[in-house]
Amino acid sequence: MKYCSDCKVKIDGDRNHCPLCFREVKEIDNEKTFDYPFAERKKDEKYQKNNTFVFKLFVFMSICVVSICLFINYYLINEHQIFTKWWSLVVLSSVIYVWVLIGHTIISRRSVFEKILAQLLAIMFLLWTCEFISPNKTWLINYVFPSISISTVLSLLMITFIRKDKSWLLSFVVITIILTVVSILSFIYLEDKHVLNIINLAISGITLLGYFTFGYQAIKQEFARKFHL
Amino acid sequence: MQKKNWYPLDNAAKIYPPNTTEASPFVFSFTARLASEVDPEVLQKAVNLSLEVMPTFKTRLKRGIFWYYLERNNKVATVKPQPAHYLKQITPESNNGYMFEVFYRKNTVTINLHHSLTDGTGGTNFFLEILFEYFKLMGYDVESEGVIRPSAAPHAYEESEDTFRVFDKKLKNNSEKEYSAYKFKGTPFSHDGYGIVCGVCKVDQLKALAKQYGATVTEYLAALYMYVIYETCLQGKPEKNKRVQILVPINLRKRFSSNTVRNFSLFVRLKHDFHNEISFEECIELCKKQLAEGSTTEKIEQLIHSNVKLEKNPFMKIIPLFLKDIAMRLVYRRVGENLQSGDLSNIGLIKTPESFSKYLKDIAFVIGPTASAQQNITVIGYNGKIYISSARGYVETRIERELFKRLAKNGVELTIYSNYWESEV
Repeated sequence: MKYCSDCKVKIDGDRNHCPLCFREVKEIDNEKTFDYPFAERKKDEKYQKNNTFVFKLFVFMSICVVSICLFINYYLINEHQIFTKWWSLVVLSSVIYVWVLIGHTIISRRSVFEKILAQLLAIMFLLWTCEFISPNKTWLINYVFPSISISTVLSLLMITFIRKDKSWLLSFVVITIILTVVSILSFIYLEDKHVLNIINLAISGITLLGYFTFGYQAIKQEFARKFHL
Repeated sequence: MQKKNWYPLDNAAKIYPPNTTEASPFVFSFTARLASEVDPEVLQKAVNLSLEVMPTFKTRLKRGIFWYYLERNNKVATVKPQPAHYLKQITPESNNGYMFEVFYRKNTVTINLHHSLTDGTGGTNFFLEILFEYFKLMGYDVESEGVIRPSAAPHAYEESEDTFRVFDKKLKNNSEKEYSAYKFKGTPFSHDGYGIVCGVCKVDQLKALAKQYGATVTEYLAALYMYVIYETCLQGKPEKNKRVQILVPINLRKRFSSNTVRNFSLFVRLKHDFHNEISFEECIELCKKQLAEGSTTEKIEQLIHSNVKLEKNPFMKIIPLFLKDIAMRLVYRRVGENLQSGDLSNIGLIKTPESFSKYLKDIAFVIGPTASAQQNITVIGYNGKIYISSARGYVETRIERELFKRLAKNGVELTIYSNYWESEV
């Protein structure tokens, strides 16, 4: 045990200075210090700032790639009439998709619902820009959307069966409802009803019915929890 | 009937999740020094058992559409070796989603709790429960003695209830003009963490000193804290339109006969502009008056109502959470950060079973500083001793130096411990 004659207090610890006034302290007895309650700081516990270099590099590269492509695309269309399509929009949507994938889906702590919804929207936007520059204007709604919708609905259904924890159920139901509503609308407004649209509508409709028939209690509980006022 | 596996956040806890950052982690900790070295495996079992006894803590924080809520967490709350900087922000990754962390080091056990889960008294109950289970598993001769909750007792609803809503009465709150608070200024540490200094003294000595001024320990220490700020930080030059404002939490459980382990305390704000010279005796009288006025049942009921009224407002209810987050950050900045210089939190003498004294030697309580309150003073009493801790976010030790020096000058024998955070490794 040590003593600080300036502060008039006993000091417990192995340091030779007072933690209050930083003056030297005298040893007064051999009473064993009991190491309380602090752990020693180690050299590797130095303050570290968040490394934002990778983020900044990614922002820089994204802006460079998109603006260079937009410029080249614009220049070639206007000056040389070489490319008559806005192909650079695909580059833009691809960059947006990569941002959503890394920043939102992989890194962020967002909910499963938000991640799946953001993925769906980002993929659809990317594919829409692809369709925008392609000569065939119906493949997105006739083939791509129903395929994505079917695979999403079936994947969520599989996860529901595998996982014991049903806390994601409401999110899955809401996503299935959204996809079903879009499927119904596309089915109503499409002139040529493609077979994939019919299959998609049937699968999402039956899945939804299954969710409410077998998981009603779990959905109700989850709804009360998420939407409590 | 199916067991309820989620709880809405209590009224006081709602402000914490949107405002929690690395700089403002809103955590507080209890550290116990045991008679022998801690066995981590036994401690792990004790934590698991305690979570079954007190399921309010067996939860993780989740975002709803309109409000945050606590959901039952079936993962393991892992006990870990204590790092030097332990008063850190608790993130979902910190401890499998739990809003607390349990650490061990040599013969000490530390629990770090987020304020969204509980307050100091609730945290003490949970910590003592862990220690009780640990002692039992170690084969020590301990009994609950009516102080610790027996493991066999069924979980009562009132332990998890939001008591603020239960005791809400329609009373009008007479709001006063508020002034910005004086903020501590100092050199930031070159490394992450806080400087912690703990002074241990005898209860009798401190009580006798407070009695000389006709004050309680809380009143005396609050006045001393304010006066030390006046003397060392303001040095006779108070800032225009700013006041020294110290928040003193009041435990409401006894007054409202509640057994909740969630937040159930409110703050009394002690304030003074120090524009005119003031003696320490006058400062004590000022603090006594403000504490008495601020903690009358009527005043507390008014405060409870003004807080609960906001939560019950239909317009507030239907605002989506992401917009509420923005609103609560702005509100906290305006009426939380801006009006607070520091905290003085006194848990009081904690009740432990007699049989604990052989195995539990010391206990300490620390509140982590936040961006707005860069220095907090905390007090806890156990086994005839009082542990006064100070946690600060800057190098200078002037507040605790003057505080402990004054206590020592007035005959209180103090032993000081520090984590020497200001020293280079």
